[in-house]
Amino acid sequence: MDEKTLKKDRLRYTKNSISSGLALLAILFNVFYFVSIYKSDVGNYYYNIKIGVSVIYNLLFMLFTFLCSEGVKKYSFGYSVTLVVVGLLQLVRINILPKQAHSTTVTISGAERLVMEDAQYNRVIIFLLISATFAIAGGVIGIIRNRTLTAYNKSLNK
Amino acid sequence: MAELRLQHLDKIYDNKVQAVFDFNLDVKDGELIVLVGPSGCGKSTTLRMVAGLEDITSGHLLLDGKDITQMPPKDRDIAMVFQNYALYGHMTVYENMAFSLNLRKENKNVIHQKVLAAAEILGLTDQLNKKPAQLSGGQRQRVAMGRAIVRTPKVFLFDEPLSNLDAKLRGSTRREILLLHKRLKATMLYVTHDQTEALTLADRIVCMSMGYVQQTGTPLELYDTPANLFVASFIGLPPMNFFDVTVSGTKLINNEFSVDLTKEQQDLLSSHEGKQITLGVRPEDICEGGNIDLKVFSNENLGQTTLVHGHIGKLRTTAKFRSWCNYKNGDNVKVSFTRMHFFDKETTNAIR
Repeated sequence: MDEKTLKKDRLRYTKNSISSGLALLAILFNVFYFVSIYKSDVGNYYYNIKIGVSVIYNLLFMLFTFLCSEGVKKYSFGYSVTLVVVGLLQLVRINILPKQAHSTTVTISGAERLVMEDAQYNRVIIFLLISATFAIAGGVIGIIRNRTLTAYNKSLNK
Repeated sequence: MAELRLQHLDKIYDNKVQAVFDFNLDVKDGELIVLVGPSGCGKSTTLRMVAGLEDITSGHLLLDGKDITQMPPKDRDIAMVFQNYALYGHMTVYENMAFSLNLRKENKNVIHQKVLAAAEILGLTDQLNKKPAQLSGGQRQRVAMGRAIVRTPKVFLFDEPLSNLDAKLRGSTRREILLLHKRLKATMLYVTHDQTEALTLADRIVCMSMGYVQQTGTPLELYDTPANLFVASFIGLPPMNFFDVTVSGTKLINNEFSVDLTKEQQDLLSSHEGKQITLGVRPEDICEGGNIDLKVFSNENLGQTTLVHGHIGKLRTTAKFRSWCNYKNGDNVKVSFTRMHFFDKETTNAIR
């Protein structure tokens, strides 16, 4: 067997730990993101339905991404695609809570101030971007490896 | 592969108990040595000293002429297969076999080739994606062997690898180990308390008792010419029968029987004239017909042979007849001894 074939053959017995690890990192950076948002001290700005949906989405995100991290370990195509979708949704989230909070002011103790200052905004955006990148990268690697393994198995069967 | 030399090895534990006394052994390249003996005789301790899992109190251990006495286990290039397999339950067979090579950070493709080759040898190719819990005991033991094989060590150590298997599986796995040894031509040290394993596997057997080496030799040497009473009683199934007899000219006599000696035997025992010695007779060396009375108390038919348990006088005796017998409790059978072993009563050493 040449190097290339060996690499493909290895897929039959080894787990896709890169994709799985990337998915877990995506969860970690999502945790950093919501911790950064929830610890804001901006009166009752966040006390509405949006933050409730955000909390539920964070829980769902972590659940699905964790399931994906297990699924992609076994080169599952479905879980890899799901991981890409979940990553794309992380990008969409930049435009919801962070962007709105960054352009809104609140009055606290008579002083008007931004709900989300530049520093905090930049931080949460970076966390979301990293989380999204890891999820998408994990998913894409999962898809590529799934395709490679499927093709290799087919060639073996022939 | 390699030559292993164990020179004057002693093992004294912190509580001052000495487990091994002056152990000497030269293992030739590609040789399969079996350490055999009852529980607590020091065979596993010796093996663990070779592996580096126990400190050597005194003596030297040489591998290919290099002193490895103080060398840490990971640097010894010796692989050990344990009785309880020691597999990682959360890893697949492939991952278990690749584990040690991954730790060494070897090239992934090289690891892959080594694991596949070992799996092929051991017939585990179809099991590579399974976890140990999904395998039978024999398959798990083969995985443990595979983990040792992939390292291509200089010496393989086996610590009672078949003890956890049932009788049938033990037989087949034993044959696999033998085939493996022939295929790899590896230097192997194998510990067991099962004499069948020792006799069938070994190029040479080291028989141990109470921390001392009792005899080292080929299986046939240990069976045919045991060095002392311990080896004679330990090797052979059913075990050898022993009788206290007195050397009296051309005969051996005791209260129950007398046996004529050949000229050679008379010469051998001439220095023991008038003294008591121990006569050893293997069950298969007792045959029907003769002048010794064997009073039967049980009869076990094994197909081609029959084990007849009884008493010669007051001495419990087992005979192995090469025919189908139907003796009943209380039957009196006339027997004779076709081959005898003589042991000094005081030293317990064989008289040669």
